[in-house]
Amino acid sequence: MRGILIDTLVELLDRRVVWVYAVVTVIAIFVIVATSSANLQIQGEEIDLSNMNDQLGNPLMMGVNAFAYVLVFLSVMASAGSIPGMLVKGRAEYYLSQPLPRTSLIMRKLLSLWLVYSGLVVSCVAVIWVVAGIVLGLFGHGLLWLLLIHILSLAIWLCVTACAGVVAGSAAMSMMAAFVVWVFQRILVFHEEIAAFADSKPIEYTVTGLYHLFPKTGQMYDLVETLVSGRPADWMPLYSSLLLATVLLSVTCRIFEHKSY
Amino acid sequence: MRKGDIVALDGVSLSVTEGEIFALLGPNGAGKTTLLRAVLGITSITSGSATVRGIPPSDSRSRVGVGYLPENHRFPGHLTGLGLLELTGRMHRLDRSQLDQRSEELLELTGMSRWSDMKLRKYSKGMLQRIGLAQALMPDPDLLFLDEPTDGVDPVGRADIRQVMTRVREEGKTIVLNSHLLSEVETVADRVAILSRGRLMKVATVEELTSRASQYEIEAEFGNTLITVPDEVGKLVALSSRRLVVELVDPIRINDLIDNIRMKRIAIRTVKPLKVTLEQSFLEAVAGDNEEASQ
Repeated sequence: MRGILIDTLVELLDRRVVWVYAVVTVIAIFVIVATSSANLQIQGEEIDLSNMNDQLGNPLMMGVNAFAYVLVFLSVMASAGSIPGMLVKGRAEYYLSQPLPRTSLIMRKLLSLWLVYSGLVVSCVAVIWVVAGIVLGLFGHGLLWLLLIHILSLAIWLCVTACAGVVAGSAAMSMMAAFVVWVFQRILVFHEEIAAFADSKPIEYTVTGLYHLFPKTGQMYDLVETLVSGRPADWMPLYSSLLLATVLLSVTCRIFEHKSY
Repeated sequence: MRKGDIVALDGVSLSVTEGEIFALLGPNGAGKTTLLRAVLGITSITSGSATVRGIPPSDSRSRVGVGYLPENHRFPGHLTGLGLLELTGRMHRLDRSQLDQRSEELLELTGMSRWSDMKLRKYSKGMLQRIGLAQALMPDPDLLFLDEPTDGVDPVGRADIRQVMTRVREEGKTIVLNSHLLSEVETVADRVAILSRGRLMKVATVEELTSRASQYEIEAEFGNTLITVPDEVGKLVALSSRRLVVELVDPIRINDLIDNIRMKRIAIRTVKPLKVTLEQSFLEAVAGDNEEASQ
């Protein structure tokens, strides 16, 4: 495990992806600083940021949640090429001739990607959390919930890109698969509205079926806000997305185990 | 074994003995690389079977203590030479002290110590072959698969790599070598398998492939003397004023021929079995297959 983990970390540093995270984090810090010096008004009444927790739930949580969402998106895009890159002609021979079962190899790589990119996301979110706390004087609770949900969401996306990467053997296909799934899952959130609009049973069954099949990471991010605000949470998006990730992972391992290179 | 509609290997049956250097020869597309990849479990076998020390390639234990230098490899460019050796070592479950010791030894052996901290993407082809050989040797393998190990390497580097192969064999380890360089194979290999269009044409020792057991060459001052070879001895293949080539019925009949020449008071300089180069032998084997294919 350590060998592949170090390999993944070195690859990440070599590709200078870290700089993109740094730039995004710096931009977020500027936004926080700018917000701290702005006079916020709601319906003409100036508000005190330190009282926002009581007035609007937790705006800090909402901001950091959006920031983490961007970081997870970046991580999915940045890591999408890693598995296909490992399996290009000339390199696949190197990895596959090692005394590791193929399932173990792909799982180690996935786990390494997850750990490395989760580490990046957690570090950046933690920096923003601390900066926002100091600058705005807001120390909301629920950071752990936020990190947990986003890290699980990253794992789900990695399973999607890994599956596409192993099946298609291309980084571009892997990224496109992630993007298509992302677009569809955002559309399918409105499955009830689509079914009502179409007014057709087959369409209703199809969109409802697809809704349950596709990951629901968008709703998982909403779950963070629900959890933090203390409202009753609907865990279905998390459970069903994790179930899909498990199925995709099994399919990926099965295909990889039998694929000729 | 198939790749789409193409039969990549057809009826190939061979075994490699422990401690030998076994070479695979064949024209491009003969199936040499496919054979190595099948044995290493990289490519699936559609029919038939292969084992490495009795274990099928689908079982990763078959690759324990096995080193492999692939042809046209693309090692991860983000790693340094040392990083590649450490990654390989870790995947072979070497501990920290073994990693350090083996890396240092192999970098020294392959002449790569100076460039061990350089990224692989900056390496020249020759340097990549050297570090590739080092990574193949990293697990201290009992069995080493080398696919075109001297490809892109300068003559000095080729000699170094040959020396490494000889040294590995002297340690009692087995090497399966795939090379286009017949002179290289002739120098280092013990046995050779010739493949053509996915089929095994011949398996023999280098000695067997390069000697014409029944043909002898005699160098002497024949001048204009008429030399005849009786039918019971053999038949004359070539004769010049200084050289005679004869194909004997039985190698023991060379004595009769020598007696015959001595009786004519001709000074004999050398008598030796006729040798051909491995290249000639290889071309003959492959030509036979090509003729068959064209019919």
